Parts: sequence; C-alpha cells; structure tokens
Amino acid sequence: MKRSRLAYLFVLPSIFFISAFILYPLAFTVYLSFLDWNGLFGPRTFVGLRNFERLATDSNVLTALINNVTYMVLGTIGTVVLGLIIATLLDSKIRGWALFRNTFYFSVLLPSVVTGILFISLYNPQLGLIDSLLGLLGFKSLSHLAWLADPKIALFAVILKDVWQYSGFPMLLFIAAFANIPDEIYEAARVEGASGLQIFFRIRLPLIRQVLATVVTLQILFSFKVFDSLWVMTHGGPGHASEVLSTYLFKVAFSQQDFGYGSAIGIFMAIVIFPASLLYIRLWRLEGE
Amino acid sequence: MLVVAFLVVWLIMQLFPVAWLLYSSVKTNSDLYTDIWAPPIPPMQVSLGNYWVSWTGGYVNIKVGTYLMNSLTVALTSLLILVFCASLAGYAIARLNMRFSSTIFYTFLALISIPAESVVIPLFVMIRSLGLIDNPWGLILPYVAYNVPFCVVLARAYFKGFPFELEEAAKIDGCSDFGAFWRIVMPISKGMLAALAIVSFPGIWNELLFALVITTRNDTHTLPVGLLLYVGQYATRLDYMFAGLSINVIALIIFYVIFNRYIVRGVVAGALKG
Repeated sequence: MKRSRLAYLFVLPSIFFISAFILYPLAFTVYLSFLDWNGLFGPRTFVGLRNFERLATDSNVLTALINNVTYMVLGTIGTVVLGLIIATLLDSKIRGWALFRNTFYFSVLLPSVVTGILFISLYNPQLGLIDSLLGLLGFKSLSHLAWLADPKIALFAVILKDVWQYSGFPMLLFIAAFANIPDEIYEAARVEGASGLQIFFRIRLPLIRQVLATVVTLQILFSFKVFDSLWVMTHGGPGHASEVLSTYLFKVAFSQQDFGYGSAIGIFMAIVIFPASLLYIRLWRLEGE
Repeated sequence: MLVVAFLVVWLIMQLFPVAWLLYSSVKTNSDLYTDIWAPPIPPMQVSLGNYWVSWTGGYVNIKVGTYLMNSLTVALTSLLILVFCASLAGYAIARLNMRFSSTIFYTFLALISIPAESVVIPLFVMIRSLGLIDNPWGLILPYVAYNVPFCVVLARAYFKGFPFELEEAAKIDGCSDFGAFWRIVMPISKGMLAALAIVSFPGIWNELLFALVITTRNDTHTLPVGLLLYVGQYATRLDYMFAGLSINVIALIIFYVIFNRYIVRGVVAGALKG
C-alpha cells in the first residue's frame, strides 16, 4: 500500500536519533569494555575479559552496588509512602487542595544541582541550620552531626534530600489514581463500619495497584541511575562511602582515564537495571492496550 | 482539622529550603557567616548586587547569565527537534499502515529505561570525533535522542485516541496523507505537542552528567555545570552562590507558574497513559 512509504519517512528521524545516539553507543560500550584504553589518543589494546575480572573483585563496585540498593530501598519507600500519605490527605478535597498539590510538586522540577548545593549549606555543621531546627524541635542530641562528612551518614543525608525533593512525583500520580475511585465505595465501606485504616489498606491501596507498581518500578529504575545528587553533595565520598555505580563510572572513566574499565562498569549497570526495565515494559503492557 | 494541619506542616517543609535560599541570596557573605538567620535589614546589609555579580561572572568568572543562555538555547532547540520527531513517529505508528510498527514501537518502549549513564563513555568519544565538544549540538543531539522514546510512546497513545473522521473527511476532499497530517491533525494537537515539550523540559534543563562531560570551557557550560563551580572554591562565597542558585530557581518558578496545568496533565498522562 502506498501509505507505508510515508510512515517510514515519518519514523525515520526518530529512528536515526535512537540508532546513532543510543543503540550504537550501547554496542560501542560493549566493544570498549574489552579494551584497555585511556580515552585519549593512546593505544587501544584488546585485553579480553580482564576488565570484567577486575569488576568482580573491585570492592568499590561492591560498595557502589550496595549503596545503589540502599538508595533504592530507602528512596522508594520514602517517596512512595510520603506520596501516598499526602495524596490520601489531599483526596479529602479540602478547599485549596489543588494549590497544595501544585506547591508540593514544584520541588520535583528543581535541578539536583540546586537542591544539592542548597542542602550542603543546610547540612553544614558550622552554619548550623539543621542544627538550630533540630534544637528547636527538641532533638538536641542529633545536632552537630557531620551530615555529609561522616561516612556512616553521608549516603542517608543525600537520600533524605532526594526523598524530600521527589515525593511530589508519586504524590501526583496517586492523586490522579485516587480520582478514579468513586466516592460510593468509601461510603459503602463506612456504612459497613470500616475504620479509616481499614479503608486505606483494604480499599484504596488495592484499587491503585497498577499505579503503585508503575511508580515503584520507576523509582527503582531511577535509583540505579542516580548521579546528580551524590555527585554534587558528596562526590561519592567521604572516601567511597556514598559511591554509587554512576559516580564510580564517572571517576574511573574521566579522572582515572580508564575507558575500558569504565565501559565494563557501564555494562554492569545496564545488566543490573535490566530486570527493572523488563518489569516496566511488562507493567506497561498490562495496563491494557 | 488534622488533615489541614499535616498538609500545612508538609507545605512548610517543602517551601522552607527554597524560601530560605531566596531570602539568603540578598544578604552579604559576611552576614551569612555571622548569623544565618538574621533578616537582611539593618544592621545587616541588603546586597542585591549579588545577582549582578553572579550573572556577569564578577566572582571567579562564574557567569550565570551565560550559563542561563546556554541552557536556554540547548533546551529550546532540543525540544523543538524532539517534539517534531516524536510526534511524526507517534503518528506513523498509531495511524499509518506500516510493516514493522509493532517492533519499532516496542523498541522505543524498551529504550525508555536505558541508562544514559552507562553509555556516557562512547557518547563522549562519538561527540568528540564529530568535533562537537563544547558545541551546543554536542548536547542537543543526545538530549533529543534520549527523550525520543518516551515522547514517541506518549504521542502514539495520544494519536491512537484521535478521531478518524477528521482525517477521513480531509482525504475525501482530496488531501494527501501528509496533508491531512500537517494541516488537520497537527494544528488540533497543539496541546499534546506542548505537553511533550513541557514534560521533557526539566530533564533537559537540569541534566548534569552529559553536560559535565561535553562542556569543558567556561563559556559553554549549562546552568547545572556552571553552578557546580561555586562549590569547589576555596572559601565559598555563599552570597554569590545563593544568588546564582536563585536565578535558576526563579527561572523555574516562572516556568512552573506559566505551564503548571500542562505539567500536571503531562506527567500523569505519561506515567498512567491517560
């Protein structure tokens, strides 16, 4: 049919872009991971699986992976739970709820660079902002913590900031999902004598199952890619305490000039993310087409 | 009511950091270090000049004004190309008869979750061999590429729901396929096109990793990269830094106030398919 030709022309630009800048680089990464190369105009030597052997024994990679997983667990729970709570509160449709919703979403748009630097100042023990706040609230014992300088706390300090910043995203989606639930269901439940908590866990949550799954999957995907916040706030430090896969990849490739090993890390990242990607696609298809 | 109380608490927690940033951006450096809370009224000084210094690069040549322009150029160009490519592809997949439409579509869908971080190395090598380091196109092309998959999926979903009758009426009147698309479908779809751009905008405006790698000269930095320069300095000048950050925040506030409705609609549509 003559129609086909126009269609191919229509998809051509997009296909060009993804082939040139996504598919080709992906293949190229695989190729590079088998080399030893400093990225400049030095020799590219084929070293087989040596980069991957190094990957398997590099304790920094293990630390980074553990940190990614920590980020994933805490970050996802934090943003999703907060998002749920606020969305539920806003579902009461009090006056001005839309204004609340809009304000709560704003922080999601801010660059991690800005919020990261901002929180560096907030967390600064000398400037003492969070300290004064904690003192005001009565948590005197928590003050004077070296939030970002203490290797045991640094990662959590960053996760906290990200949870603060990004809860608006799940919140927005949950609000939309809740909007699809007819009020009669809640009324019927209340007539039957259900308590607020029961309504929440037995009615609300199950009815937004799919959105919940999508949100969690998206958060998981994001947590394995996370770069900006950590790079800005801790640079992966102190030492490697808050290193994640992407920051380590960056350092290996651009500070240590080891493009081969860096590419191997990249492959590792893609493999780690792969299950979550499959889940996302699967969920997307389940939403019914 | 308890509901309102909790909401107000969270509102304060959300607004406080940003409000504090703006508030602090007009104080002098010494004032900030002396007493972080004091309002910028006498005996403390108000220093609106912070913004000027930050904008023009008076401090260590950190030129936020230049960075803003770079970010704007890159973002607008990327969005234009992105929306054009994605809407065409989305339309073709949704509407036109094409042999591999399923395969092509699922390819796009799968690519949504590819981590750009994984491929930053070969991308860097590619952009370098194309001579596009420190060139806005070195950023624009990858930005378009990495946002295309998601936008194509959104566009296709939209076009699937588009009523047939309009195009058919046009074709009965003798319009070509392309004519029907360009003259009938597109003008009506302006809202969707805007939504594509608006939803993709923050990802491009705030992008750090690629920009860090591709822009090496001070003149070519985008906002995220440029603002980061404030952090490495020996004795951080909080006043200029806060002013610089505030410039970025104010730009986003303006963006948000104008496009709020589209953003909310676009995000929800993107994640929930309507």
